[in-house]
Amino acid sequence: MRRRVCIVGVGMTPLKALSPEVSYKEMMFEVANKAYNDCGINPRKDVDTFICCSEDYIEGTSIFDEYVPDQLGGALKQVHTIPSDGLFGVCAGILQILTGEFKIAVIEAHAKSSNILTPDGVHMCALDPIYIRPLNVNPIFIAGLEYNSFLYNHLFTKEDCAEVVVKNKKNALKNPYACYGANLTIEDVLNSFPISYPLNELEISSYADGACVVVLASEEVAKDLKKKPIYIDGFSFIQGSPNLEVRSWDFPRATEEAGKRAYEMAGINNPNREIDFCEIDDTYSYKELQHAIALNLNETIINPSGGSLGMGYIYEGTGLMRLIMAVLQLRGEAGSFQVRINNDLPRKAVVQSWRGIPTENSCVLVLSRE
Amino acid sequence: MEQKENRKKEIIHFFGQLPVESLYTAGIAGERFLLGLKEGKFLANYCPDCDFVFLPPKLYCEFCFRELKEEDLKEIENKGILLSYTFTHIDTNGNRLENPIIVGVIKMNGTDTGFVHKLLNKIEDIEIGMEVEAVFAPKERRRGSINDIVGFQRID
Ligand SMILES: [Zn+2]
Repeated sequence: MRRRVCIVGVGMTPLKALSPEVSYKEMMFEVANKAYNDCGINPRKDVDTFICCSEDYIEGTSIFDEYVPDQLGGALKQVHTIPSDGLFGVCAGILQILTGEFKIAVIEAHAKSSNILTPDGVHMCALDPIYIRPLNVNPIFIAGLEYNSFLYNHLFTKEDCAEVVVKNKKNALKNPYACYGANLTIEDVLNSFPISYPLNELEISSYADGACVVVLASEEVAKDLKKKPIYIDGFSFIQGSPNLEVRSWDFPRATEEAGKRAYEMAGINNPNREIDFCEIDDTYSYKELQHAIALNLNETIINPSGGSLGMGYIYEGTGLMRLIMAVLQLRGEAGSFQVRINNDLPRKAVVQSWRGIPTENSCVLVLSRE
Repeated sequence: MEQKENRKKEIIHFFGQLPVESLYTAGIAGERFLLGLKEGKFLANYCPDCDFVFLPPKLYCEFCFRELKEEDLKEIENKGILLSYTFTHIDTNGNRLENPIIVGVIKMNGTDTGFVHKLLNKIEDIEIGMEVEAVFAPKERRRGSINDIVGFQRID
């Protein structure tokens, strides 16, 4: 049987629209402690490798990797950063543990979105500087083009997409980690400001502040730690094309590919029947529907946490947030938003993340409890 | 006690900027393409292994990783089909715009790619599947830039 890596500890702060009183370092320190206490480890003694997912432009500090070790307990240890979504860091941690040279890995990602005064400027600089940036249009146009193409080529309506917002914001009302829960109607969503047709303001996840830490361990080590491990049965991370001209506008190719690989590794043949629930990317309303069909999960329970539409969008931390929500569900620790399948706790879950426009990438994990 | 907790604290933060300026090299294929626009022409190239035509052209095929020859660039006709469109109501700083900017994805005839640029028609005249053509800036104002194309308009 394939060797598996386990999730043994998680830590996260409830997300907030503003957090002026704490620095990002203090936020990281707080959640790192939560995660270490969750599994009963000492980072100075027990952790072999630390991986932070962060992007210099979002931090407002270049060469950001120098700023991450101390608040995680990683000073003078093996630390590196990955400028991508947190789930890509989880995959790097899994691979390091699978070498057999590392037993415990710590993955961190955070956002202090309220400190970013020009988020649209950060996004602008992600566009191709020769063919796209000179058009001088807000990058949200890419989501508008994708959304319109999705509606034109698939059997979904604008109302179906608005329904995603209503569902996720309602789910978030039950989730103490969420900061954008609300009771909305489909009309509220359809009548909100048209940011980039057909995408309305309420269909876009709002920025939040927060930090997440996940601790991974090899199966042998995981058995001796505090809580029952959650197993990573399959994983895949896929990059699409940076070139807008070759991408598929109506369908997330990278998510379909990552799903195929992760399912094959996990031995999942019929995701809709075998997976109990999923936490998948809903940065924009239509994205949840796209990702659900690309992963064959459209008949499962989708984003019981409220997703990023209901919880908030924390840049590279968003994937880890989805993963932590899934771990709490599988452990039976989700409390007020606990999913039950015929009165039993869920057994298998899928977590997926996307790094947002203008990227065409995706990371998929298949999780289970024994 | 609760009032004491809520007392107004002084919260200190500092303002800063990342002052970065860059040059971006168009490259061999990019330069040929942009100089083509300056002449009012679209230059594309072809991967024979994938039977795929790239616009803008590339020096390599991202599907099979084959090198594509610069001298194989071919002019394609100024006509295409609209694959998708959007009306963007905010500017690059996130402020609301009085008149939205209309952006489209256009599959130019004889190519397999979706070319992204602005659309010049009124909102009510735009639909997926319509035939469009590029409108070039007056010759004296072209500089070998993507903005040598003003935008695309419907052909009736
Ligand atoms: Zn090829």
